[in-house]
Amino acid sequence: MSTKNEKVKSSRFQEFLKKFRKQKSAIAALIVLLILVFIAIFCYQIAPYGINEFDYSSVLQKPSAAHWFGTDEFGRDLFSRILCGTRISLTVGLAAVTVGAISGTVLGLIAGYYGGIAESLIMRMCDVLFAFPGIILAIAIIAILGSGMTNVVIAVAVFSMPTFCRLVRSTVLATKESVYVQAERSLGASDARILFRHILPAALPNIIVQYTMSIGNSIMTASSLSFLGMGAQAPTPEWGLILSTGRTYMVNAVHMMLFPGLAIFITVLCFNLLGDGLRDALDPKLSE
Amino acid sequence: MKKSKLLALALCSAMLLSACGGSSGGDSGAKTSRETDVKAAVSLDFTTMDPVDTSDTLSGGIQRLIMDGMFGFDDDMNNIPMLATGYTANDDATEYVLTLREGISFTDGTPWDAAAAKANLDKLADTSRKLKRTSLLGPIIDTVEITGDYEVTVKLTQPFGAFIATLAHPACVMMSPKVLEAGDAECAAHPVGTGQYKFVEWESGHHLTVELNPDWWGYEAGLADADAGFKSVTFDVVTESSTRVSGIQSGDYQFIWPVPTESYQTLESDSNVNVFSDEGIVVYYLCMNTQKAPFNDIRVRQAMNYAIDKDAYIEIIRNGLGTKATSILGPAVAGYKKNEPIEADLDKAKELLKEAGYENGFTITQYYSSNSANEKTAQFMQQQLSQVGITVNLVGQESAITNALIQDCTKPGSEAEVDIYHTGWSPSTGDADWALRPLLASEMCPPANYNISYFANEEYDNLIHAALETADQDERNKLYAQAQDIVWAELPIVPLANSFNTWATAKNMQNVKIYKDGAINIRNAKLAAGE
Repeated sequence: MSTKNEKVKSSRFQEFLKKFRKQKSAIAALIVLLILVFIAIFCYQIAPYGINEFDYSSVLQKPSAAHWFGTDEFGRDLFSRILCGTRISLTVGLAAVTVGAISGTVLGLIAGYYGGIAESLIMRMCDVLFAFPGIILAIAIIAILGSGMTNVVIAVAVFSMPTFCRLVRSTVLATKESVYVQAERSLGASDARILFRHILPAALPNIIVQYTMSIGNSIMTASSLSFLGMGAQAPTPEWGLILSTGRTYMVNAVHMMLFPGLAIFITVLCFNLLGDGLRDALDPKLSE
Repeated sequence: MKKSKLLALALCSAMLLSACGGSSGGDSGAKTSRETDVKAAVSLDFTTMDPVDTSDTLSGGIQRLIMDGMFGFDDDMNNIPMLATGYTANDDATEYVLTLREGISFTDGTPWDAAAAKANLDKLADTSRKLKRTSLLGPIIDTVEITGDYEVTVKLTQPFGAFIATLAHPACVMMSPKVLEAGDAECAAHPVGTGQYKFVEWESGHHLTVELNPDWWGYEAGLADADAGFKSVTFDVVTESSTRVSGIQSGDYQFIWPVPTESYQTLESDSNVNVFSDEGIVVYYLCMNTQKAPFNDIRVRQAMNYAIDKDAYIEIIRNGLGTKATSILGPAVAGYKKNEPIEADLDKAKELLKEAGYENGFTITQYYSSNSANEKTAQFMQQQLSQVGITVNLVGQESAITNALIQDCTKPGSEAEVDIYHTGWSPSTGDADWALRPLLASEMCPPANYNISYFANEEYDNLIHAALETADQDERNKLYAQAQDIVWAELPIVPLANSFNTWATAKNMQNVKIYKDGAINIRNAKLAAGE
């Protein structure tokens, strides 16, 4: 029984790999993201300069061999700062979406499986959250909690939560009446077992795709909040914050805006491409 | 096929060209200044049009276009008579007789006379109205009497030698009695004065427009050339510095101020733009809360002064546009006394900290209103102080929150949250009193005024008050010099730099100036000859 199960699983995984391999852009994105993760882990070892190494004699210098991305308004090396910013952006993106995904999934499972008053409550709460555009909701949350990166994580988590909740609930509604779930129930399985062993796996592909896509979005939102002065505080090398500072020097030091902007652009693009690729590979409706 | 492509190309380029040339307001050939509508961009929104309720230089500057004071300033900020022609004071500076200029009307037709002067002075003296600038003369003026058609006699509650200088403050410009009668809300929205320009409209957060008053009395009095002035001037609120800069480069604006110092060089190299800088009277400094540890120890305050490199501050924060502060007053202020700037010396700073028992440094918090300039300054302070082991936590906030924390603080100094605070001040009276008193006199601690250092020194207080008890300027200067020496000895602040005002105009503009206090001065502005 168990070997058969594993065989089914592995063949399903191989099928996914086969489909995913055809998604050239998603694979490229994945490689870039792996590099970014590597940078995020080892940024302080790789960075040629300290992130707060002031050098008043070389302020706002254009990119050169010594400073690949140029220097900022204090003569700090922009390349080092952007490298170290990778860790902040990836951590915030991942942390926020993970919190949002877990809470959304649990709420979605409860709402879909038990129905009744719990469902009404949870889904109306999601409707309320959906009524606000993401960034506005995040700004409102920051206004209540105060600025700072922890609060940015909370804000982004709150606004990514309802999407997961709806997604999971719809899958639960579709699968909870299916024969294999009813069979399991008649065998006396507990609710938890049914939910986590049988229903959740059915929802997993959707969750994974949504998860990947949301990371890009949440990195963008976190950077936007820092850009608006509500996220990271100076002198943190957060990309949105560097971009915001660079705005002042838009005319005479373009590199101050260009490189943090590119960093955000590339990271968000890669997460979205990867998400697209995963969706194409995981969606049974899109099979050849 | 080819023809239609060519036609499309021609159409496109025609559209592009017309779009490029479209927006530049009023620089076309044959028009004179007085037929020209001019657009300017300013960095902040206006707060109110009621001079008595105005505490920002920008709004005060615009009000000076619409309303004249009894006394005012020439281009170099020397006090000159405006709606008054002169005054006499008694020896102990408690009674002033002001003679008023005759034959002038407000732009709503109300005549300027002793009754109008009394109505305005009474408003300035009425502290019960809770207007911000009644703090200037409210406690000083006792009674205002009409002693002739064009003469008022002002009796003061106490000797006040700075009375005439204070009457030149932008808050003391004269408004039509008709508007005054209509109430404070009307004053704040629809000001009427005797000025060179008439108020047209103000859309908060967007723009404010004034139009020329060709019958302004100042033309005859020789305050401005007969052909100076524009048909109208619209001040757009453009908070984003780079947008102001691109606006003047594209010709959307005929003048902008301030020019962000980081864009100064860019504009200098633009052949369509004239860019100016001039030493102002705003002095930038760092307050230290002298009633709270560790800054209650003079050695720590000295160490702070040695730790911060003023040259680097000017180079990095003011982009080279500034000079080292030599007092808490700018050199152009009446009563200024030069002291030697304290040069950076890290070893000395560390030694002093060690003596004070802070060998391993300490941790403090610096609050600031979030904007790019403040954030840069805060990071600079953090880096400078880190060199002597002082850790500075930076907290950037909405300006309203910061102001509440800094200015409206009701706790005594030892309990106030502020450790250090970076700020700048210009005495808009052009006189030492309106810096030395509000910034450092013990009765001026927040929320009363701006003594954020919570400096309390009896000798200093006595000198400041003694200087007010005489109208003899030499005597006042002597007392103020002693007071400034105390500031240098006690160091409740880290004096940093005298600012430069920076502004830019289109090539065809002339005589657009900025007063030393940072307010706009377009009294003699016009289109350049030959344009």
